[in-house]
Amino acid sequence: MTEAVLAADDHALLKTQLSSALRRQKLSAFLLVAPLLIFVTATFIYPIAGMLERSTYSPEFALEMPRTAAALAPWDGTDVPGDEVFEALALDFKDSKTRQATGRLANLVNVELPGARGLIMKIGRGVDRLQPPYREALVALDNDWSKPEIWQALYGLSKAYTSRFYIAALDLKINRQGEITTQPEDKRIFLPLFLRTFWIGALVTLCCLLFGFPVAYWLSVLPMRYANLLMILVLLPFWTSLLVRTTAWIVLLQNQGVINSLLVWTGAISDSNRLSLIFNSVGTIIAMTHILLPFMILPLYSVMKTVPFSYMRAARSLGANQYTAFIRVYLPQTKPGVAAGCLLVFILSLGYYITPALVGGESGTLISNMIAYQVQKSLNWGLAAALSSLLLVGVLLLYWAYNRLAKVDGFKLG
Amino acid sequence: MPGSNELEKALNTVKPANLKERVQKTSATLEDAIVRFVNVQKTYDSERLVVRNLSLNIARGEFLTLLGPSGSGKTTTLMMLAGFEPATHGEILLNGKSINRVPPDKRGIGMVFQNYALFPHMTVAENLAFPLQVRSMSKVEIKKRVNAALEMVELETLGNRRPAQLSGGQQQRVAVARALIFEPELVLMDEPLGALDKRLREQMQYEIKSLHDRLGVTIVYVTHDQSEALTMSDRVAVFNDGEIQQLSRPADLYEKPATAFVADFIGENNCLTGLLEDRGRNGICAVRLPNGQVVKASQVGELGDGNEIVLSVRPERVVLNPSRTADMSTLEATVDKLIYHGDHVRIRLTVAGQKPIVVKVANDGQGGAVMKGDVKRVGWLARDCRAFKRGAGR
Repeated sequence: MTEAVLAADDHALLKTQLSSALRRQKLSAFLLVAPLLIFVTATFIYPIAGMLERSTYSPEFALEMPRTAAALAPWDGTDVPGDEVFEALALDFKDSKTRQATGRLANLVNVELPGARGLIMKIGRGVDRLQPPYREALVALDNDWSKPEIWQALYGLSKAYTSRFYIAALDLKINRQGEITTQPEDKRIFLPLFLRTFWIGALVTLCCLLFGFPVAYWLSVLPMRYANLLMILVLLPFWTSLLVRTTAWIVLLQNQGVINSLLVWTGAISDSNRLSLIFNSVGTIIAMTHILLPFMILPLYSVMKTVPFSYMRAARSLGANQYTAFIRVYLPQTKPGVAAGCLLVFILSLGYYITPALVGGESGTLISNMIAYQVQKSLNWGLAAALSSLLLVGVLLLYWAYNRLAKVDGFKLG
Repeated sequence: MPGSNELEKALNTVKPANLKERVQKTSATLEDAIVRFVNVQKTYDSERLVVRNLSLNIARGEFLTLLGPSGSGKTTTLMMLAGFEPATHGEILLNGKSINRVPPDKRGIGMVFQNYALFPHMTVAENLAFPLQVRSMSKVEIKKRVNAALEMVELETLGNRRPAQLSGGQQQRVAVARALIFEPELVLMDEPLGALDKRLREQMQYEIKSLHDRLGVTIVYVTHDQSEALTMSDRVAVFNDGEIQQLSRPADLYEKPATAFVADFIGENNCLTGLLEDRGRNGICAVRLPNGQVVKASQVGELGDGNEIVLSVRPERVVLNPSRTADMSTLEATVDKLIYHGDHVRIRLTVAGQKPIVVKVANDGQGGAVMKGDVKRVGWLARDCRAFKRGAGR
């Protein structure tokens, strides 16, 4: 204790002692969270940063065809470019042939201009015979080289930093005049898919709320013994594989499945009119509601548990009937739980992948399935990244809106 | 036992002017009874009766307190009256009509809850307006009444606050105002002051009491705090183990406890056990202590020869170094401990090989007259010592 005894006016010493004590505390706290911080950075922040970068940065073409990229840079993008660009292209192709990169290049261009693969491969085969003047040689090889479309595609590819993925992801296109316009209705793919994702997410959230609210209420008022049992039943889906649960729904809902057979057996529907409950949006909604239900019940339960029983009693004693007491006194107090549960379920459902992929069919697939397709099949990673980024922005906007609302009402999530 | 100071204060505050009125109120006849419990029983698990066989008349305009330890059935009784718990057996009448099947919102009974139960998502004014809104009152009328209620509890400026922004005492006042705003004839209060600190509690006791005097409503009040019960009530019903042990005016409760439980529960009490020696005359009996000594005591209830007896004497009625008179019983006792309380000193003595007894001696400034280990004579008048049959009234 003798060390700690300080003269009353020795503020400076006191300050340094306090700050060194605090520093030790902070350091040990930091060391404790450091493993998680490193883990999160490596597995979460770095991939997201990579995704964001890939959605705007695409240097492949410029690396493969440096001369062409440089020559195209000053082009105004309207007509066919000048001779120097043809020459740059021909020389780049000669180089790429030696690196055996023509195939990769063809894929790259084909994404931008469907059908252009053949055009590129044709050069690849005939590049050794190309002689100046290159413009005439190329046009002789294929007349498409005298049209601006292919050049616009190459121009778009030549820039390392580009917004073309976002333009494509938003169902927009750049027309001949270089203006951004919307795609014709029949060619829009992604916006309807986004809309469907949000719509199905909203429906799933609503279903979860409708089914989850009574269960959560029940959980919160039951005696501990029964509440624990019910809680296990609620959590049971958590402990079962997602794949098992989804395939179980296929067994139940398919055309020759349990539910349809039961309905036919009872005579509710005729054998020829079996309901199509799966491989469409209905199946997606049913299966996702089931899987996401615990995410609604748990936040609701945690809030309901804290609402004292005496509020309802007080409302009743003040003259409100059961219905009024519930609507005006109980329901408003569960609002934080409802908001948290809805936000959780909605955000989770926006990114849902396996379930819609298995049971969604044509009308029940979501944006995540499209992203997976772009990554795995179409190999357009830039577009996949742009779609993912748009989804991320959507989720962040939702979260921001929720927090704004929450602040007004005096509760907060995280 | 704590709180005997408050107890004395409580007894002194019975206003003489109110006394006549109070006595009238206490004799709740069938006609002026606002509430009647008729043979009411209650069990939750069909094994143990929480309320055994309750018959109770509550007079219009009286302040009745249900007092008892936790689990004695007092809150259950209140909840049955409020309509939140159904009676297992028997009937509850309000203004002469059975309300067993009337839901709580149709009973028109105001209620103040233990933790106020103010709706946290509404402002104070909205809380007060709630009972009026559900009665479909006009907005103008509601506003008028809310303002009047806020004025009544002196919170005019706080109508727009949320309950969480108020202090405990203010919340309490809002809860009382909310229970009164729809002008019920009967208001129930379930340990409303339990969450307040001592000073605030005393102030609120006074405020609730003065509201009761002003408005003339009937109040049924549940508490386990005996000083609260004694200071506020016209009558007190002492509950234990699902039964009313005694129902009487606060002063009688202290001066003339009907059972050993009441004697022990209300105020401080010294207990001695013995066997009945002689039933005697004029209600004065003789009890033989285990050490062979005989003491005289007032007989409570029917006692039979050889009954095991519990004797009860208040500490302030035990006299140190008593003069030997006919109705003074004296015993020899050894001083075990001195406890200094400022205005008085408590002396704990072992007597006749029994549980120690406590004597309260006013602090007359001449401390040190008694030392630990001293052998003293203590005594009490026969009328200050009450003899109960052991085990009666549990």
